[in-house]
Amino acid sequence: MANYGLKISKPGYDVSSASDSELVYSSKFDTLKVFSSGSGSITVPNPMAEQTVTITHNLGYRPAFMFYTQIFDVFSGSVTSGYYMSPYTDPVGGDGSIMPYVSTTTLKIRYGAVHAPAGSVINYKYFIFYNKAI
Amino acid sequence: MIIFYDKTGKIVGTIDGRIHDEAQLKMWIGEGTERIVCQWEQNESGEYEPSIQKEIFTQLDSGERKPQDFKVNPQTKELELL
Repeated sequence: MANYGLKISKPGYDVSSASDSELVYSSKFDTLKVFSSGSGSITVPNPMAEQTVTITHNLGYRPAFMFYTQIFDVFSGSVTSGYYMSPYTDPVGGDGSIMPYVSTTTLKIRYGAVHAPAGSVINYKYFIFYNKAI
Repeated sequence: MIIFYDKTGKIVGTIDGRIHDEAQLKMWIGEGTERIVCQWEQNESGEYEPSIQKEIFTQLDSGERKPQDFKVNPQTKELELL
């Protein structure tokens, strides 16, 4: 069988003899391939209630994904500037979890009813990959 | 970039990117939402530029501004600064 492909070595290593760990890329290994990425925001309703963000991808299978979101920090009493990788569970309890889940047609993110006070604006960022999750 | 907005013009989600293929054009964010599609196209000089609202979408592409800085005018379907 022919031995061919594409390899890129780290600086200082000969690509023809570099070990796998001395490469920055090799076509021998699978990689994550981005289908789409984007961002958005939700505003917590008054009265507070659960909300679900629906992102339709229509890939026909359950794709791998990553989802990051701001959260309401109960200790500082404000929305964080940082983004947390989800799923996220509020340590204080109640229906405060943020749960992303994927089907063959959609990526849905359920924000629990008490994850943040009414009026809070929560930003999110997502990546959907061509790679199959399941 | 594809921008999804609700009846009030509030932006609820985006799909990033300059050029969107057929599969991405089938994507949707939210329920009961509308969308604006901005594809980048080559001009006479061969450079790529946004198909609509060039200045705004160039700023969004470079990160100089964020989608949250805008809302959509539901009548004109154009982005307006908040």
